[in-house]
Amino acid sequence: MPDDMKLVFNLTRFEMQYPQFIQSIAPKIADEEILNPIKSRMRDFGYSQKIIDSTRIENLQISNLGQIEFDVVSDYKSELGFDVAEAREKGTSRHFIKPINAKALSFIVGGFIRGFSKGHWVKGITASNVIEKTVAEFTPIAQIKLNEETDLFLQRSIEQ
Amino acid sequence: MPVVEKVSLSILSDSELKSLEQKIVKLESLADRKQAATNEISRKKTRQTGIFASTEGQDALPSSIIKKRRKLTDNISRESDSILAALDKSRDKKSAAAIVKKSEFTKLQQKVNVQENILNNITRGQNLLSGASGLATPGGILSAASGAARIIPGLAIAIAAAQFVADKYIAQFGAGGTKDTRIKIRDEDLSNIGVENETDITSGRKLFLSNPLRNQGLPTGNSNTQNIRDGIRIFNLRQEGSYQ
Repeated sequence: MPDDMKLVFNLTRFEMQYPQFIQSIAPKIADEEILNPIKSRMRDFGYSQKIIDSTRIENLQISNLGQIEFDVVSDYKSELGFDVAEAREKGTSRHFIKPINAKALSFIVGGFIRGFSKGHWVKGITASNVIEKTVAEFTPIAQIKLNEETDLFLQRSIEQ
Repeated sequence: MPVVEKVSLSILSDSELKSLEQKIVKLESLADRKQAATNEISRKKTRQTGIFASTEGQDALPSSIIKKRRKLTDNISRESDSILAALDKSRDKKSAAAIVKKSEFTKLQQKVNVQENILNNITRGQNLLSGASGLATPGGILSAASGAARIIPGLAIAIAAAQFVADKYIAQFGAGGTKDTRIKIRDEDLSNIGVENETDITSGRKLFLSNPLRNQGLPTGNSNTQNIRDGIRIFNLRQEGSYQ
């Protein structure tokens, strides 16, 4: 087969196989380039493993307009329905806590003095914004990685 | 309310893929045309590989095809260059053995020797024919040609020698040649300068004697007989009134 016709054949094959390639590469890119860095930073910030495990990729879609769209979701809630993941991500303001089922809240003062409380004010949790900042930082890197993978796929398709 | 961050990455869109598809179709069309042109060029090259083939194509071709054709010719010349380079290497038998098999190398060397002998004969024949002394007469030409025919083997070489001889013979009639007729005409013109020359001769101012020295007023020879003869002629001419 002449070289030119071979190139046409390979380009046609690339065009036909490209959607399948994107479907296979998109979850991989989302996991490796977005989700893993988020989890790694969560560990660095001292997030609980339950919050880390609950962080995931959802709603991954490949649109006809040339976009891979997905959501990074983190929604771990305590047994009482308190959204711990959101509290760590967005932070909380100073608020009053009180026991709901138990008679008193137990806490440690000074490292060795146990105290009890019927309710008291606590200062809020500082927002870490790990997910938001990591997504903003690593999305360009993911795009570069996706472009490289696409180039490699194109190169493999043409050189076959 | 869970934490949700939306991520969007760019890939090739449908319109871009469609554009790519159109380019592929266009490229396919160009590739077809190129293939057809290449086939046509190779067909023409095959047709022109005879002794009567012309060096240039007879049909008018598009400039792009001519460029491709030149490219093909360049490729062929490059191949020839590489073969020649390999032959240069083959002068060293050790390196030649690496390129050509021993038997093939021997055949090649024999061919080269035969070619060298033919070339030497041609050189000798040309040296013989280039001598002007042997070509002054047709007989000389024939002898030279027959001598060349004995020395130079092969019909093609004999034809080349005959052509060479013919050119030499024709050249003798050209400007500066020994058979240039214009030289004779010029000599006659110089010896016959017209009415004045005729008058001088008839009046005796120009005397044609057997001894040219006497015409020029120089001392004559020691022969008394010549002096007496010249004296009688001068006397007779004076009596006729044509010598003063």
